Amino acid sequence: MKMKLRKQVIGILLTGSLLAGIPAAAPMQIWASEEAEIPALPGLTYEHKMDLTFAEGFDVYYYTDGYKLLDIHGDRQYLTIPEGKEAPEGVDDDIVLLHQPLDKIYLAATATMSLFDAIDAIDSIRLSAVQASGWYIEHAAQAMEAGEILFAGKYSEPDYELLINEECDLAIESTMILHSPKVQEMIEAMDVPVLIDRSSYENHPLGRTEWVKAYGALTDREEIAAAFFDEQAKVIDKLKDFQNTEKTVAFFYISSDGSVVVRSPEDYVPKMIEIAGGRYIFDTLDGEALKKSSVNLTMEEFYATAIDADYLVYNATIDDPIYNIDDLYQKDVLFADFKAVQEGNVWCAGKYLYQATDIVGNLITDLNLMLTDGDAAEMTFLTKIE
Amino acid sequence: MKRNSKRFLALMISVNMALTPAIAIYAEDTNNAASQTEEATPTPAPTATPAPTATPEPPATPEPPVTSEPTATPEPTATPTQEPTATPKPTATPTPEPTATPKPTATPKPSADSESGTTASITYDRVKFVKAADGTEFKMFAAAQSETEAVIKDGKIEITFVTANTSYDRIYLGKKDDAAKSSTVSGVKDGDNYKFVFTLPVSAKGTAMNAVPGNASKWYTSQDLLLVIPSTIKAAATPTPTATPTPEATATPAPEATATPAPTATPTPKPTATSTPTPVPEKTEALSDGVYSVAVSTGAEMFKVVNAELTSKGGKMYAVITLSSSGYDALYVGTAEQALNAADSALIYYDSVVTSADGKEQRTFTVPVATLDQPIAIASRSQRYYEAGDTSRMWYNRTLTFDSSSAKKIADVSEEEATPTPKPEGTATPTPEATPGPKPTTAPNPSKPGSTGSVNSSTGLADGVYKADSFSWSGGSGRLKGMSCDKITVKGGKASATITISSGSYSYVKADGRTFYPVAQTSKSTTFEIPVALNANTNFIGCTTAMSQAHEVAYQIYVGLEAAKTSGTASNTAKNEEEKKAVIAGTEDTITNAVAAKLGEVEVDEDAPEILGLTYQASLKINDAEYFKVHFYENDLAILEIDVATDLDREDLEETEEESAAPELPEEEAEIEEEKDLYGDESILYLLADEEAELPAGVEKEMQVIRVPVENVYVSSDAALMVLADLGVSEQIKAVSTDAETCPVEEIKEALEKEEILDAGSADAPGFKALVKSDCELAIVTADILPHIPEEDAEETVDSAAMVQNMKDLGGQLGLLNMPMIIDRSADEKEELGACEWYKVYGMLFGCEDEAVKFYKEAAETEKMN
Repeated sequence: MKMKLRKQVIGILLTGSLLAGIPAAAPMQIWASEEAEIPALPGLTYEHKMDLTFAEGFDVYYYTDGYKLLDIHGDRQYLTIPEGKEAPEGVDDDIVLLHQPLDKIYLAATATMSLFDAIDAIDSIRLSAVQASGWYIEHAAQAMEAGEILFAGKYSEPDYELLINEECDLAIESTMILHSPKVQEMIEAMDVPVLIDRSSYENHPLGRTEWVKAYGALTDREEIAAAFFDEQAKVIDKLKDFQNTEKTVAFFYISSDGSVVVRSPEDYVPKMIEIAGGRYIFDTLDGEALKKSSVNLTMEEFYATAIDADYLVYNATIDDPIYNIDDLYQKDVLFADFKAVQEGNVWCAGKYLYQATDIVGNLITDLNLMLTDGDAAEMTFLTKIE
Repeated sequence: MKRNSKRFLALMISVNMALTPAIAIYAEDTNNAASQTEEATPTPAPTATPAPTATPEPPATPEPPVTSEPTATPEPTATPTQEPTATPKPTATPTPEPTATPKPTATPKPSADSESGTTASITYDRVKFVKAADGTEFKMFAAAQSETEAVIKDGKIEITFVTANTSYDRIYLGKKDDAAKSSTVSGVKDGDNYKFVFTLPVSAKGTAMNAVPGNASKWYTSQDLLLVIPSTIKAAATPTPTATPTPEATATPAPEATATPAPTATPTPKPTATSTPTPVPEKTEALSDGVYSVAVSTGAEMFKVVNAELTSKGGKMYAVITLSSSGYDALYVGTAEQALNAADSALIYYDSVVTSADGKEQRTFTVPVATLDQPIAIASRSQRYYEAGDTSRMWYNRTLTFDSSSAKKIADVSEEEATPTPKPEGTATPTPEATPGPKPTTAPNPSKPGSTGSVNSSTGLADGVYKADSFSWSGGSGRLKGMSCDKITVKGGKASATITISSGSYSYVKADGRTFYPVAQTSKSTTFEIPVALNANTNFIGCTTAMSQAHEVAYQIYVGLEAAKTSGTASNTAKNEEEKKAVIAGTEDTITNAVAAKLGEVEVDEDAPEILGLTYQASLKINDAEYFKVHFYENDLAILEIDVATDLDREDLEETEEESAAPELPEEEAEIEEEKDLYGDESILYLLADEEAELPAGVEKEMQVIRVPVENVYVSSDAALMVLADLGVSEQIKAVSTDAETCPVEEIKEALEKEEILDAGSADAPGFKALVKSDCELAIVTADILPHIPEEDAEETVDSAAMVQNMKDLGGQLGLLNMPMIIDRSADEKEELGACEWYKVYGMLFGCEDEAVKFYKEAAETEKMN
């Protein structure tokens, strides 16, 4: 109990300090109020609620006999029914029933695969919306190559026949499915329940990672999920008393048309910079920027602000990475004027952050190492550019 | 290549050991890191398997070879097939192992043969066959001395026996009297000679053993022959690559022939990414001209070649290999380090994607084959690490070893066959003239990203810049707003089109087997220039970085330019064009269209739909029906037009289009194209085409496409059920909306009861799951779903807007299941004959036009008589 309480307190304090550090801006998603009622289920007695530190998008309620209710805020509720048991009589029609074991999942939310990998639950997945060659996650690619996971069409064009034949028991979609509501309806017409992963709406980077506990609940791997999450969250713990260096960081890439793409200040990467003990240099951008995760600037606009940034971090998840300073000059000779370039503080973030939801915490560690001149060899995502 | 320890066992048991050491040579040969010295013991095994040394040599050597005691027969490593090499390649060993194909390294040549012909002496000066009787060389199987040699390699003696004598193509190391000459060394033709290569344990040095040459018909058994192994043998000059040590146990069976079974080699650990030295591309004998299927080993689980077709021409070889994994997008002949720094043009990209029998994506590559039976250093690029920019992981060292013994000729190479230029190591090949590779993908399938087939961009137009007369496109993920063709450029008789995509996220496109970078780009658009086939479909692949990850999307475009049309571009390839003529009513003119010819007279309809890429001919002359039309186009295409407005309550068509609010946007930018509402006009269009007809790109955005004849159909219209029964095509009905009780057609009723047909619900509440299971490709629904103008005294009100929306929703849902929806308005026709005319519609759909016309004519006759 003590540990839990301590963690919660840390969480609150940290969140508080984060909010203080971030300029006032409308949050991207308003969650259901914290005081949400504990759902009553006929014939089942509520026992306890899942412990969550940063995630605000869901809750898991535990009932007798192993029944669990995954409540996705602002969306649906999913009742897991333990293997061999039945749905309780009189359950609300709106509650989606999931019969365990969930081992024939169609995964169309790429960011979620890494979470399944983290809790060793890839064998619960039978169908993928991405071809083998599209997976950055080794275990996923291997499973596909071994024929354990089949390609079942991308999220907007699933292979309904395959879903039926494989007896898919759950389709996990990303928010992209909201563009194709008819597809979601058709999947449900196939008697396949749909769950939309809303981890991308979390404001806190570790909040995204904490969705691993939701999937842990669905696959009865809560312990592994919690252990994994705690490991990732350690970085928060370690840095809780860290005094911000006040050094400024710019995180960007140059698109092929010459414009500079930076993250919106509310995006989770700037949040990670803050947690790591730095300041994201683009802390004020136009109102429109707040709705999207990235903003296009002209080189002049970028130059005006970032020229004084202490650190430049090149985002190679979209564009090709830069291997040396020359690559940067190739994109624009003006970079020679930048303080970070002159002081040798240019870095490159080179892996697929979007597929690496599980180790997002490592980027925080990387940034912290960067800001404190730590050992670059220990970094996961960042490499120094000479 | 399986090793046969059982066979070895049998052999050993059948052999009497006497003086000469009988040594088993093991099948699972492995690499040995230690460099070999001349006096290498036969057992360098690091593991505890004790290798009994060979029985001492001296007793064997000076003895006159003519012993009545059968000498021990060592088992050669070769399996009795046409294997030129005796040392097998272990599949588990990842490090390259040179097979026993010898290199012309300098071997110590023994001094002149000092054959004396005395019965008592054999000179152990070189490898040769001697008569057991007198020790003199057996002239009928004489060794070509300059090429015959013995070298120490990997702890064994490697014998290369070359003879000008071509009567024998195999050697059995044993007595001529042995009944079962099961293990033999096969020879290969080497120019004018025959060459045999095999290994013996080092203990065989300075010995003579029974050997019998033979061929397919017989063995030489006229006298006993001995194979002489010289007493002085030098080590091979070639260095062995570093390898993991493996146990090598050689067992000497006791004279009583209790043989020790061959232990299998310990599997070697997987290689780390150390660079293997590039072996000097020694030219081993290439296969003779031809195309062969060949086995290729790589020694790596994740990098397996599941198929290889090797072409040899004029001494040069290349192979098209299929990798089991689709995770690699490029290969490089050389090391991973070299690959990392190589120019893009020096990389070998995959040429095509094939689907394996179990539905897996596999990719093919064309690689040069410098040498057979020796590992070729190749580096593979992991696509996902490449896209992640992970330079330390994207290139991986591999080897390919083409096993010549497995080569089976499957075709000849013709003289004209262009040898494609697979990229040699490190040099850049000139791109524009590069042939697209031996297996270009077929163009009309844009759904396989990664590869593009060759584009026939030739045109008779004069050089210059032209404006396209028409342009349409299809493909992509459905998220692209639009595409346009800015201009056509003709240069040197080749046409290229400048295309602008309405997205700023494209980093390159691939077409005609090449990569093209944008010529212009803004945050909202990308412009590039690619070769194009005018007045036909051209495929290209775009690589977009929208949605946070670089991925490829396939598109198809149709660029129309009247001026480039040569006569007969839209020519029919019918065998008998006469059969396909339909008469234009009131004239003596005809059109050539197979469908029209069956249905009846045609007439020109000025309001017929104008479709890009389709050339209008005429329309079906309709007598009484009011709610459908059929228009004919070149290439036997037809468009069915069903009126869904006349005599219906369609207020919605008068309203302006409203913009639908977009749902909350997720993070990634969405560039959704506004799709045309295919069910939103006064009439619905359906393009009827047969399976093979190629349609202009983008036509499916303008109308429903139905491939005829239709095989599986869902019918929720009773009227249509009856028509189909009349036409005799009830078999095609796989799902209906009636149940067994109320079904008006007897045979359908029975089929429902037997569950051969599924009840898929009505148009109001369709059972989509049943529809998917029934595999239907078309839906025929009743016109009841449309809002009919109510009778004057009708009490019920009709919510026409809602009904129309439901109709569109149903169309959309069926569309998700790839089912076009035909609204059967035959019951709406005021005239009886008008309703009968709908038989022609179903005749077209189900390929029974003749039956349909027959019914219609009979009905018309009956009507006349009344």
